[in-house]
Amino acid sequence: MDAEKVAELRKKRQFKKFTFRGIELEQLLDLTNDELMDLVTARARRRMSRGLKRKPMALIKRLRQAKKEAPPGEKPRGIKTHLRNMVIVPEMIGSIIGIYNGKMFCGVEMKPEMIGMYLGEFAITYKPVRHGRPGVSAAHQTRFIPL
Amino acid sequence: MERIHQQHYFLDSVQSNRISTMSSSLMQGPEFQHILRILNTNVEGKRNVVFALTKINGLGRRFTDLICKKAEIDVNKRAGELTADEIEKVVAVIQNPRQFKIPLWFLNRQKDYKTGKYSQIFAQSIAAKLRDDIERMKKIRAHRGLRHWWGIRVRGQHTCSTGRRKH
Repeated sequence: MDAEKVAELRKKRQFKKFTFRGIELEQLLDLTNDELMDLVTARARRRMSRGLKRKPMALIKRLRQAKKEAPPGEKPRGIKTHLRNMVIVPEMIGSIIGIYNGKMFCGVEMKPEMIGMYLGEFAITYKPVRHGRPGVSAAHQTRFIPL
Repeated sequence: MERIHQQHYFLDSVQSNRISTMSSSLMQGPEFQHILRILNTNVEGKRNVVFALTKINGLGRRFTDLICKKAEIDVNKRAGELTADEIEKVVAVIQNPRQFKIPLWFLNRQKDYKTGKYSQIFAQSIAAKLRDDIERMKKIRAHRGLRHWWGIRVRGQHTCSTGRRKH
């Protein structure tokens, strides 16, 4: 499949146009860092303005690599990371990132709706509580158990 | 100060034997509406304009105060006394707040996620927007969305011993 056909197919598949605060996907990818900062929430803005000495440089480089290597029309391979505190920028959209949750890497595909959130929000770190029968400690009366 | 002023007003009109040219004592007159319908909500006519308009979802006391000032409505009136013209003006101000020079920081939907616009949402759209926001988070499987889904506290509260009387 040539690149053109693939691009056309992709456009046809999108039924709902995605706009982030009034800006569409193609334009988002071209935004500079400063312009992006204007759009995101205050928390993300602060993070970007403080940490742009680029600690997560390595991650972004590897994401770009993976995207390049991916055959057209297929998803790029997953990149593992511990960087849960990384803000999601438009550049990352479409990549698969394995986000560490303490125990394992959860593969998550980056969608455009995720911009401005942190990576960690998509890798839950605890097993949701399913309350079972309360154990011995719960009942007040039976605190003393004779042997 | 205002309350004393109004009492005076009332006494004055009573004493002048119902020959009152003041519109404020037109309480049970023919044009007085007991219930108005503005922006798909019922608004009490008996209350003061500013407070009656708060019944509309999305408008609080501060905002309605500002609206009345921008629409040049006498704030001492009761809501039932508003003419149709004035009601239209009010609705226009609510729907285009920026045109009437209401500052952006005053509005309740700022930098909207999808459109980036600044607006004031009111009445039914509030519930719709809220649902949209939550749906968005659920769709992307963000942590906040998951917690909404499970019906537990979202904002980081301790849940070990509180929130037991779940609706």
